[in-house]
Amino acid sequence: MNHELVEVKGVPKVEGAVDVLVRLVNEHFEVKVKAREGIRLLERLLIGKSYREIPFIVSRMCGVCPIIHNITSVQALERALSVTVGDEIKKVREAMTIGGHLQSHLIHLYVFTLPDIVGRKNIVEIIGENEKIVKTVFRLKKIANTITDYLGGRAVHPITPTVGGLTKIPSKGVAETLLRQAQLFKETLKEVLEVILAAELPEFEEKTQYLSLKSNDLYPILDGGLTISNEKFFEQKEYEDFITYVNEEYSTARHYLLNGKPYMVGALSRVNNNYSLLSDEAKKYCEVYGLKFPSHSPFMNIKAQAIEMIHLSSRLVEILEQLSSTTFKEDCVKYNVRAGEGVSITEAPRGILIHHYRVHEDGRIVEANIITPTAQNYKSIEHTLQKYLATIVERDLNLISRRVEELVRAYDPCVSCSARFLREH
Amino acid sequence: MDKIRVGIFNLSSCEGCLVQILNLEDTLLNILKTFEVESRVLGTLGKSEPYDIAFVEGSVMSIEDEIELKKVRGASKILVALGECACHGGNFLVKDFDVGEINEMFPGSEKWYSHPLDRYVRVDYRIPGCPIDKEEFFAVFKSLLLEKFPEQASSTVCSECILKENSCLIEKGLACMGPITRGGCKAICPTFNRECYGCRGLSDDANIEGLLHTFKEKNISVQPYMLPPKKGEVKKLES
Repeated sequence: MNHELVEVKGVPKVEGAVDVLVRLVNEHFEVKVKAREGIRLLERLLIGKSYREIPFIVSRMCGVCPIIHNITSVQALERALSVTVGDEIKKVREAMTIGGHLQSHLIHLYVFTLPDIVGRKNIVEIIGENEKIVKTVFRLKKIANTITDYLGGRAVHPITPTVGGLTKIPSKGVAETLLRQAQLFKETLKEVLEVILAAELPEFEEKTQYLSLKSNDLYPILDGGLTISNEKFFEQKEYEDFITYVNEEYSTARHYLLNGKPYMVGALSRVNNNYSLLSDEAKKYCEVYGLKFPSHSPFMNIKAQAIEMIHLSSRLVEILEQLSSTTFKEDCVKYNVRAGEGVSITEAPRGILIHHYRVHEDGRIVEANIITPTAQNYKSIEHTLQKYLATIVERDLNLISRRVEELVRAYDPCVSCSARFLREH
Repeated sequence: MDKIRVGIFNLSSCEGCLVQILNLEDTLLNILKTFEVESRVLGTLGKSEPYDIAFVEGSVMSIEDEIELKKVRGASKILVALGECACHGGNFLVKDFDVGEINEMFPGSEKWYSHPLDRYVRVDYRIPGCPIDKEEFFAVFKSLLLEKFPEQASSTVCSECILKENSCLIEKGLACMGPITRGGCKAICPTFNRECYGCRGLSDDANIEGLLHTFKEKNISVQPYMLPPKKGEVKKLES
C-alpha cells in the first residue's frame, strides 16, 4: 500500500525553496527532492551576449556563492580565449574566493545548522541564550565580507574579476589592512569551533562516490584535476564522459549522475580526497576531536566545513602576506578576441562547479553549460535519505520531518543555483 | 507592547538581497532582538498574523510565486519590493527576451516569464539594485518604522560618480549606463572601473536618446540589449 508519509514544503534554513516528499511504497521509502525555484536563469540567456557580460550575469545565479560563479566563468572564458593571467592576479582572486567560502560556511554552520545541534528552532532563540556566539559569528562574517568588498568591489555580486585580470587592482595599503583582518579572523574562529566539532551527529553512514578536485601541492579550490574517492582520476576537459544528467519532471532543477550513479560533492568530498593537504592546525583539530577522514557519513559534511574553515583562514593569511609585498604590473593583460572553447571546474563552497563556454570570433557566447554543486547532490540526497529513514524506528511524523530536514541541511543545498539550466545546442 | 512584525520573503530569486540583509551583521543582531522577524531562511517562521512591514525579494515566475505574493500582500500593512527582480522583473539580467522563442523550446513546461511584483499587487515602496545596498535598506527600514516614506533617490549614478571624482568611463570608451540609471548606490561599479549596467533601473528623467547619441559620437558600440528596457517592452533576440 502506497501512502504519502511526509512532505516538507519549503525546507527552512536552506538557501532557496525546496520540498521533500517521502512516501512508503511497498515497505520501501521513496524520496523525491523537488526544487521549486522558478526557471530563473537559463543558459539560453547567455547565448548571444558578449563574453564581457557573462561573469556579471552568472554571479546572479546565487546570492550566497556569487563569487565562485563569477570567477569560474572568468577562468573558463580565459581558457576559451587563450588568456593567461599573472600569479598576483590569481592570488587576489583566490583571496576573494576564500572570503566567499568562509562567509558561506559561516552562514551554513551557524545560521542553518547550529539550531539543530543545540536543539533550538533558529538563531533568534540562540541569541536569547548565548548572544556572544552569534556576535562572534557576525564579526567573523564581517571580516570575510571585508576581504571580498575590498578585493572584489562588493561581497554579493563582485565587480572586479574580468577576463584578463581585474578591473581594479588593490592599492598597496589594502593588502596589509586585509592581512591584519585575516589574522584576526584566524584567532577569533577558534572561539566558535568547539560547538560544531564536538557536536553529536547521527552516526549514519552510507558510502557513495565522492567527487572533488584533486591536487598534489595546494588544497584545491580554483584549479586541479578531478578524483572520485581517490580511486579514479580524470582531467577537467573529460568531465562529460563521467557526469550525465536526468530531467525529473517533479523538479525545476536537473539531477546529475556520475558513471550512472548518485554521488556527493562538497566539503566532505574535498576533505576525504585531499586530507593530506590540509594545514597542520586543521589536522590537529581533527585529532583532538577524533574526526576520521575519509568519512562516509553525510552529516560529517558539517564538520568537514568547519575543518576547511581552519585551513582556508591560514591560506588566506598566507596569500595576503604575499600580496603585501607584491607590486602589480598591470590590472589586465591585453588579448585578442577570437573563437574558442573553454572549461573551468572549481570548488564552490558546496562542491564541484563547472562552467563551459564556446565563444564566437566576435566574442559572443554560442554555447554554455553550467553544472552547479547542488544539482549534482540531489540524487545523493534522495538515495541517502531513503537509507537513513529505513534506520529510524520512530513513527512520529513530526520527528521524521525533522530528520528529513536535518539530513537535507547537512548537504548545505543551494537551490537557487541548481534551478533549471538547459543546454543550447 | 507587541513587537513590530517584519516578514522577509523571497519568490524566485538568487537571495542575494537577503544575504545583503544578513551582511548587516551587528545591526542585524539588534534588528533580530528588537523586532519579530519572520523568514524561512532564518528559520524564524511564525504564526500567520499580520505583518507591519513585509520585504519581498525576487520576481514572479510561477503560479506558486503569485499565490505567495498575494498572501503576503493580504497580510501586510506595508509591502516593500526588495531588489531589481522584485522592482522591475530582473530586467537587468534578461534585457532581450522573446518569450515565444523560449516557450517553443520547452513545450509542456510552464511559459517562461519574470514579472515584477507590481504587476500583481500594490507595492508601497521599492528598494532597487542588484543587489540592494545594505545601508540603503537600513535607512529605508528606519524611515518606514517611523511611518515616513523615504523619497527615491532622484540623482543618477553619473552624478554620484562625479561627486566621487572618479575618472569617466565613457571618456575611456566604455558603454556606461550611469547617466540614465537611478542613483543611490554611490556609483559602486564605476568606482571599481566597471561601467554601470543600470541595475537600479531608469532614473526619473532618463534621456536614453541623448546617451545613445553620446556613445555614437565617441564610437562606443552598444549592443541593443544593453539598454534598460522601457516599461512593458520586450525585445527580440538577435540571431
